[in-house]
Parts: sequence; structure tokens; C-alpha cells
Amino acid sequence: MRPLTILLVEDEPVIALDLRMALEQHGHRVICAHDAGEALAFSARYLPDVAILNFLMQHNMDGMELAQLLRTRFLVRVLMVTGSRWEDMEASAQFYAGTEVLYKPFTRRQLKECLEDIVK
Amino acid sequence: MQTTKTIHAVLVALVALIPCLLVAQTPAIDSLTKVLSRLTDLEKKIEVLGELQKLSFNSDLEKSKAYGYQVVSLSKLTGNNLALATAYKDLGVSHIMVSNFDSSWQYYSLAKLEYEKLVQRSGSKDQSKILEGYAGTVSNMGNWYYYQSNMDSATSCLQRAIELSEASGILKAKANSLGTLSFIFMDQLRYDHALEMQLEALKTFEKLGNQDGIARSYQSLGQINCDFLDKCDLALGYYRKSLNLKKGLGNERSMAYVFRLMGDAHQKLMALDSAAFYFESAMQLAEKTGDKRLLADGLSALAMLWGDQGKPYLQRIEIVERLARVAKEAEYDQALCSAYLSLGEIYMEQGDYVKSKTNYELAVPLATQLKNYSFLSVAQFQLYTLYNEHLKDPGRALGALQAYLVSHDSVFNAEKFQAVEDVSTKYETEKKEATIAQQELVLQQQRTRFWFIMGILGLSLAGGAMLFRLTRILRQRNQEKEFLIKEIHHRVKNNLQVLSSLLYLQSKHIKDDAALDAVREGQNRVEAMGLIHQKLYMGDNLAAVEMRDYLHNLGDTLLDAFRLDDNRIKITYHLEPLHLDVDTAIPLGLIINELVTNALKYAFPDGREGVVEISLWKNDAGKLCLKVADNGVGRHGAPELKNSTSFGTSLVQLLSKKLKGAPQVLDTDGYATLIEFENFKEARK
Repeated sequence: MRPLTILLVEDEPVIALDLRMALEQHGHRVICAHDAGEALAFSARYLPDVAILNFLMQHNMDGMELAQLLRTRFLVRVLMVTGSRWEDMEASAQFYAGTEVLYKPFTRRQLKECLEDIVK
Repeated sequence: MQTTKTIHAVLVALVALIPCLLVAQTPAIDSLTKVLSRLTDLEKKIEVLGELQKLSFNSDLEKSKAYGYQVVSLSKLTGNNLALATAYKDLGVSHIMVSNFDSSWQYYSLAKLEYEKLVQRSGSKDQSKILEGYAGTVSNMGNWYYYQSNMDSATSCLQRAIELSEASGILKAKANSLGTLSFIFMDQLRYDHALEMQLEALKTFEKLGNQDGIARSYQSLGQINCDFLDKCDLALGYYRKSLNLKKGLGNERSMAYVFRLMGDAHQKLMALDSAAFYFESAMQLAEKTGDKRLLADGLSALAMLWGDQGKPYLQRIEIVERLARVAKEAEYDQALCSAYLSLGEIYMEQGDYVKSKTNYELAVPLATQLKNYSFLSVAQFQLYTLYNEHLKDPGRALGALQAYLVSHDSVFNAEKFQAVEDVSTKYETEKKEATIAQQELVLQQQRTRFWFIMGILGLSLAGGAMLFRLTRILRQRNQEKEFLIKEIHHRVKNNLQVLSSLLYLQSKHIKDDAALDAVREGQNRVEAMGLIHQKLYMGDNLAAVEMRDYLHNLGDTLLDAFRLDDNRIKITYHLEPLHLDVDTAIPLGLIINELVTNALKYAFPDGREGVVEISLWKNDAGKLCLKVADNGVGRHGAPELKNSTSFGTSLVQLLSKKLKGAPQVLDTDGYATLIEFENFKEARK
């Protein structure tokens, strides 16, 4: 898989660090954002290929809303990672092309497979 | 009774003629006619014509009607509605006098309508005249109903007339109405009431100073006493009083009528000579006034009296033949028929059967025409007797008998019909009452049922509302619970992810191989559990794990962890489709994790290729069987399970115990472990 620029929006720092290391290990460039505002700003600046978003974020915008903005404004493909199984989220994800959902707790292998799927 | 009724009807008809009977009309008519020819003023002309209409009642009905029609057209022209109403009313009287009931009713109705319009336009200077005319019209309508034997309507009209008359302050209509009401009571055999009414009428006429009315009241009081109460002496007193008044008024026609009544009273008292005298007096006056009907009545009464007196046949024949002549002239068919019957009877008594037959035969068509079935049946029966016994003509006798039977039946049927009608009326009434009662009952039941249903409905509604509320509360609580469970699981999953990340991050800082190995194994164990949690809550059953999908994921993850994704070592699966409960799936997942890890770590040293086989099924004994086998180096290269002190092996022992299973090492080429679990829980699908 070609190296990607990945925007990682995860408000849990341990998971963010682990993911960043795992992704960088696979040769990707990872930009970490801690909230939706940062995510939008970094997207404008770095034009990422993929955004990995935690669906339930603690700040003012939820993952789904952010995903929509990223998709429409910056044409970013989105991988939602979540610990919850919300039916409406799955439906939305299926509705938008280039969106995948990965359920926590996931393995590195699963993350890798998902990324491969999303950039196909 | 029939006769009495007829007499009453005639009397009531006379009531309407009061004005014209009071004075000698002819001179008045003549002078008015002269006046009329000179008049040019329309209103005055209407007035005179109206007077002429009234005055001509007795002398010439046709003329009276003609005057009436003129008043109608002129008053319509001038808009004199009072004159119009009065003309209509009097035209109604003219028509009823010749038994033209339909036309009479039409005129009365028109008069009533006009009077009502006038009454509504209150404040007129003719208010009392209007009310008087209105009362008179309503009273006449009451009389009309009386002729039609509609006693209820008659009574209500007459009562209304009395009210109106009292309101107008001119009580003539009241007195007249009381008179007719008295006749109605007589017909109903309520003589006390009849007397009371007539006395009341008398009082009213006395108040009014209406001599003719007083005379008529005395006459009626006499009739009630004689005809119904058998007090003919008392009746004669009233008749005399009446007669004196009528004499004073010069009303000879009316006097003739009283003479007739006096004759009847004397006949009843068996004073036959006196009776004959009064009948003759009546006849004389009738002849004098030219009233042929009254004359015929007198002759008829006298003829019957002579029969009772046993007068010679010739005299009797003579008087009856005279009666027949007069009746013919007056076109008085009832009297003529009665005359033929009397002649037939007299000739039969005399033995002149042919003449008798002729008279009876003359009576038959007349009686038929009159629909007088009692006359008809008498005539036909006598004809049968004549043919059968005296004329010896059995053929005609039979014909007469048949005819008699038919007419007799008619009489009988008429009576029977009346009886049946009475009975059926009674039956219908009772039936209606029963139906009403039944309907009442049904209604009552329906009402009870309605309220019962309403009650039930109310209770159901209240119950339903409570149930709805309860369900909503329960659903809300359920949703809250579900949300909480999902929230907890979310945290668990997140923490497992954090745990896995922590172990990975930690491994990056460990230099010692054994420690690194331990941490990685720990991480694998966390992932083995994490995969179960990842698969949870996908279906309706929140605690179910689909084992096939899970074990494939677990296998791949382990291959990945040991960096064996180069197909050197393969994992094959023989898995029965199973959904296990999370409480079974987690220890089972950990056991498999340990056994596969063992195989991957030790079975294929030195870059050796091979296969690890994971099998899971339920055996015939209902136990859950797990076999993890490899075709690797086998026992010698693997740690001894039972006596092993390694943590992985202990973990397998520990977890197998929990699921009531004992690991067995199978004797194969490589290394195989079989565990049969007794304590496991399948998930509801």
C-alpha cells in the first residue's frame, strides 16, 4: 500500500500514540488532531488522504458531523473507530462512499485491512 | 239514533241561519235590491250585497250564493278583506245547507285564512267584528266536523270558537258552539253534560237577548229530556216555551218543527190524539211556509201514528200517498222510500198483494240509491214473502230472498263491520300500547346496556391509559438500561483498546526477550478478549458470539502477532456453526489463544512449514468439543501439559476447569489437544 497522509482524531492519548506508531510503522504520515477544530485546520493545511476519527468525541462536534465536513469540504476518506454499535452510524457510514467503520477493540491487522479497503 | 242524528244535523244547520230567520226577509230583500241598483260606491255595494247574501239564505240559496260570489270579486277588487272573509263564511253555510260538504269546507278554510290575516293586523277598528266573524267561522267548522262524525275535531273547533267568541265580546258564536257541543254530548250518551251545555247556551242567549237562540235552546232542552231522559212532560214545557218565543218572532217554519217534536212527545206519552193534533199543526204550518220537506216529515209521522191508532186502510193509504206525492215534489227520497214501504205494508195487510208488490218494488231502487240497507232489506224480505206465500212465484221468491240475504248481510255486515272495527281499534290500541310498552322496555334495556358499556368503556379507557403509562415507563426504563449497558460496553471496549495499546507501547521499551515475550503474550490475550467484545452486540442478543467469525479473526491476529503471515504456517478451521454466550466464549477464546500460541511458538521451529487445525463441535453426548492440532514437531518439542509450570498451560487448565473440561493430549503425528466441555452456554440466536 502506498504511503498515505493520515489525519488521526482521537481524544484518548494512549490509543492515539499506539495508532500513530502502528501507522508510521507501515510508512504512513500521521497528523494528530485533538478536536474537530484542529482536524479542520489540519485538513486544510495537509490535505490528508484518510482521516481516522473517533466517533464519540468529547468536544463540541461529534464524529459524524466532522466526517461529513471532511468528506464534503476536503474530499477526505473517513475511517470511523468506535466502541459503540450505533445503528444510525452504520447506516450513515454505508451511505457515504469512502467511509468505513472499525469497532474497538481492534487489532493492528484489522486496522491495516480497513485502510487497504478504504483507499482501494 | 240515526233519526235523532239527522234531527240534530238539521238543527245545527239552522243555527247558521239565525240572521235570516229573525225577520221577514222578502220585503227587506226587495228594498235592498232596489237600493243596490242605484248604488255606485263599491264599498256600499259590497255591504248591501253581503246583506242580501245573508237574507236570501232561506228564500233562495242559489241567489244567496250569487250575491256571495259578487261580494268576493268586488271585495277582492277593493281590498276589503273583512267583507271577503264574511262572504266566504256565508258561502260555506250555503253549501253545507245542500250537503255540499267539500265546497263548504273550502269556503270555511278560505274564510278562516282571511280572518287570521285580519286578526294578525291588530288595531283595526273592526277588531271585535273580525273576532266575531272568526269565531263564527271556527264554530261553523266545528259543525262541519260534527256532520262528518269527527267528534274530536268538532269539539276542539267549538272550544276554540268559544274562546274566540269570548275574546270578541260578542257571544253569539259561543252560544251556538255550546249548542252543538250539547248535541255532541248527546251522541256520546252523556246527557248530563248535554244538558249542562244547553243550559249554558241558554244562559248566553239570554244574556245576549237573542230570542231565537233562547227558543232553540228550549227546543233542544226539550229534545234531550224527551228523546233521551224519557221526561216527556218536562220536555213539553220546554217546547211550549220555545213555541211561544217562535210565535213572537213570527218564525213559522221553526214553529212547525216544534209542533212535530211536541207530537213525538205526546206519542211517547201515548196521548195519540194530542200527538195527531200537533202533527197536523206542524203540517199546516209547513204547508203555509211552503216547506215541503217539513210537510213530508209531518205526514210521515202522522201516517205512522194512524197505523198505531188502527185507522181505516183507506185513510192510511190516502195519507201515505200524499206523503209520497209531497216527497216526490220535494225530491225527498228518504221520505218517498218510507212512503212506498208503508203503502206496501198497508196493501199487504189488505190482501192486495199486487199493489203491495208494486210499492215494495218501487222502494228497492230508492233504498239502494240511498244506501239505506234497513229499508232495502225490509222491502226485499216482504217481496220474498209476497212471491213465496201469496203470488206463488218460487223463481222470483228465490231471487228476492237472495237479494234480501245480500242486503241483510249488508246491514248485518255494516253492524258487524262496525263491531269488528271497534274490536280491531281496541285490539290495535292494545297492540300499540303493548308495542309501546315493549319498546319502552327495549329502550330501558338499551339504556342500561349503553350505560353498562359506557362504564366498561370508561374503565377500559382508564385501564388502557394506566397500561399505556406503565408500558411507557417500562419502555423508558428499558431504554435507559440498554443505553447504560451499551455505555458500559463502550467503556470496556475503549479500555481494552487502551490496554492493548499500553502493552504494545510498553513492549517497545523492553530489551529482555523473556519479558518482551510475556508482554506480547499478554497483549495477545487482551486482543483475544477484545475480539470477543468487538463481535458482541451485533444482533438482537447482546451476549452472543458467533464462533466461526471470531476464531478466524483470532487465528489471523495470532499469525499477525507472530509475523507468520507469509503462509509458512497455516491455520485451518473445522467449525460447527455455533453461537456461544459471552461467558463461555471468553474462556474458550483464551484457551484457543493459548493452544494456538503454543503451536505457533513451538511446533514449527527452524522455519518449518505446517498447519494448525482448530476444530469446534458439539458431540453426541452434548458436550462442546475443542481440538487444536498441529503437524509440527510433536511431543518432544512441546512442553508437557500436565506437569507444566508454564503460565499458558496453567491458564488452559484453569479455564478448562471452569468449563468442566479436561485437556487430553492426543497421540498424533504432531501435537493435538482435545478438550470436552460439559459446562458451556449456547446463546439464543
